[in-house]
Amino acid sequence: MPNPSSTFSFKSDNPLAGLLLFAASVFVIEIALSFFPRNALLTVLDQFHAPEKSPDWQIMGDSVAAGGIRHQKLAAMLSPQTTVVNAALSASGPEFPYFILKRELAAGVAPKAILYAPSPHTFGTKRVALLIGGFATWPEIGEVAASGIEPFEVLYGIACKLSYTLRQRGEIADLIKGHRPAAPLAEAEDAPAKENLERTLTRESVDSIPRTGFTATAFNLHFLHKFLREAAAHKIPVYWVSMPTLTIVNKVRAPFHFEADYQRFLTTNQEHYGVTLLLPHSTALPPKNFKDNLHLTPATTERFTETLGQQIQQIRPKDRR
Amino acid sequence: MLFNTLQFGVFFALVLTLYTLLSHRRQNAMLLAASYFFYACWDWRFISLILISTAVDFYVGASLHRCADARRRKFILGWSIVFNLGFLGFFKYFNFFAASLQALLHTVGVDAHTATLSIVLPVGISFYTFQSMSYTMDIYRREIEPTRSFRDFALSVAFFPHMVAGPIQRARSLIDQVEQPRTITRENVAEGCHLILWGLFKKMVIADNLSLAVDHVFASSSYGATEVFIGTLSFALQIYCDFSGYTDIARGAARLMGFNLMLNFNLPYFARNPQDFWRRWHISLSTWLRDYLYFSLGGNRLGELRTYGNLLLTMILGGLWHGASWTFVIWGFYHGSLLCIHRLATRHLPMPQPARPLWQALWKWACIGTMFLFTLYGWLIFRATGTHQLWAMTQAFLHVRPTPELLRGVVKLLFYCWPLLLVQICQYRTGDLLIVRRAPIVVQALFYLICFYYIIIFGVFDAQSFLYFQF
Repeated sequence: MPNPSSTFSFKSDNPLAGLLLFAASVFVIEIALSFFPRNALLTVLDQFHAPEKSPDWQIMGDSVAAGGIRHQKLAAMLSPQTTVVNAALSASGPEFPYFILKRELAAGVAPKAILYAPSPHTFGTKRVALLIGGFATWPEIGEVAASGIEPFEVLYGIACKLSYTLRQRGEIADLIKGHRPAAPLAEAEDAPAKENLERTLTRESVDSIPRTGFTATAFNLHFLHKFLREAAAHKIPVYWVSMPTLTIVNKVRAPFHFEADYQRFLTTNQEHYGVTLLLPHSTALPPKNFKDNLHLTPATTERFTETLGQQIQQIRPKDRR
Repeated sequence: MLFNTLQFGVFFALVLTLYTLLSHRRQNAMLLAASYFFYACWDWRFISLILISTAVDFYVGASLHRCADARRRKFILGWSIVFNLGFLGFFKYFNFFAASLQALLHTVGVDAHTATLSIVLPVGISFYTFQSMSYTMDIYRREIEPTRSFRDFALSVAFFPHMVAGPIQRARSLIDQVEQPRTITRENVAEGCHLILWGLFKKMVIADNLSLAVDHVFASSSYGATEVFIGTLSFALQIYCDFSGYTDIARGAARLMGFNLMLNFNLPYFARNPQDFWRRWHISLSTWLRDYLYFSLGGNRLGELRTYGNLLLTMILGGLWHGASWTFVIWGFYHGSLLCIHRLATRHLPMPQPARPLWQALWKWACIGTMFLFTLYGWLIFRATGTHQLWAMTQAFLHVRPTPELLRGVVKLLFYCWPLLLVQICQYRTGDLLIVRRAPIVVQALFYLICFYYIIIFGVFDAQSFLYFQF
């Protein structure tokens, strides 16, 4: 006989009761967890806010450009009235600028000119789940889904957006296993240069450099082209900048004609979307210029910004708008 | 399309939705189309192999049923077996036998150049060929009657949950389920979801995480005793969780549609002796080999010596079924030898029969522990990349000692495996494989939560293929 004084009974004849209780618990847990802080990487993405007024120049790209171009120095080099913002996002890729530009256009703060400095390898890698789970708004997700490219990655991204645990799985696993999470690159930008990086680059990390020519996924190309079309439609000139690379990376890629493929890709964008190739060739630099196998040291950042500033100064004012 | 991918999740959700909307006849037609689509996702060209194999066995089954002449029936069956094994042999063993023949001739001083072909192994060929063969052999033995519907027979062979890695169903059992209308009950849904979640946990959390350690040890060129032992232990857990995880998902998916696929694993690492192990490990294959090979060879009816010979031959062929490699042959021979020794010992040596419960329990666990060690060594043979590695690793394996390093390795494994261990001890003690389903709902929900969050947090998401797909 059931105990009449008991409010809850954990006996049930419904075979699905356990599963239903489980599903309800997951829902409650995920709702509760959504109030917890997001991880460092997603926080960087969260920190993106459209500028308050249209900048003269806007730097776009990934973490290499975020840490490798000093926007204050660039502004000072151009003229005291020139505004330059660095809207490059760590961990992002070629699929992000379209959404950033669209948000700025909607807010009426679109830049007057764009310095686009993507890392070539990001064209061949997937970040669909990060875009959807950590950056895009629901209408933007609808636009991504409507593209019909990578539908399963889109689904996974939506799951990431809905579930805190799925989104933060790497950090939670590290926390449980007692591993120290890696410092986000934005925080580590003042880390000292590794004079002997070439020696510290383990065989594994050199092996991890893809031995292929330049590749671009359909998803990345789709949103890159949308970005360039959108910029062209609003008469915003896009200047393409190639960031410096580590000599060993170039050496590994050389037999696969990576650079030649990349130059062909740039020329196509120039022909189809009127992109200006400001610094089309990436300079190969020795390890002392890098904090790791991608990101520039503060000293090299200063020097590279100076070179970039000089290139921009050579653009005729009417081309600069 | 692997079971542990979002693609399969979407595919299965669509199939299940359609399934619930259709009548019985249309359900079967849709399931057949879905099964062929599922298989075509690997390689559409091999659809023709399944179709040919299905058509041949369907018409052979009908001919065997119609034919009354014993000699003619035997001829038809023989033709069907040669055809099916010929298919299997060509795709799976051609290169192995060609290379072995070349090596053999080389040892006697003849340098022959046998042809080797770059043959792609069709996924699941060993499974659906055996499944299809059991149909004709059962008709030949007059144990079943052939089905009149080609579509129903084709569905029983190609039914997507079991097509690529079993369980190898008995023809009649699945055909009956295909022919009869099925109902989706709440019990089916609950059990199906339970099996799928548990299977995903085994595969994505345990098998795929341990595979990294296993690959590292077996790719190494120097072998420390502790390293080899932990590597082999990890492989024992990996192969069990990989294959039984696949089977659980397959059974769960089938259950959600009202089908009941046979049990393939019954706590194999709790086996007390070799015979017990083969009643618990890959049950659908071991019973297939027993019913269609061992019994056909004469089983234990032709004297003691012949029985041992039959056991050895059955197990060697069982080993070879897993793939074209001498390590599989040695593995089969090893298990055949264990079965023979066990049979010999139980027949001719007095077995301890402890009277007191404590001694009984100790004896039982001693037997389980000993059998587990023998099984473990069997997995070393199975996983070794060649006979040279097998020899070097055997020497290391035999020198393993209980050290703090070994303990640390075992504790690391327990990080992923403790839910499995806990559940299986409960299953073993109660003799109830569905003990979790019968637990109070709070315990059930807690169990599902642990599995779910373990998958989300520690699961390997870049889908790793199932080990048994290559067999």
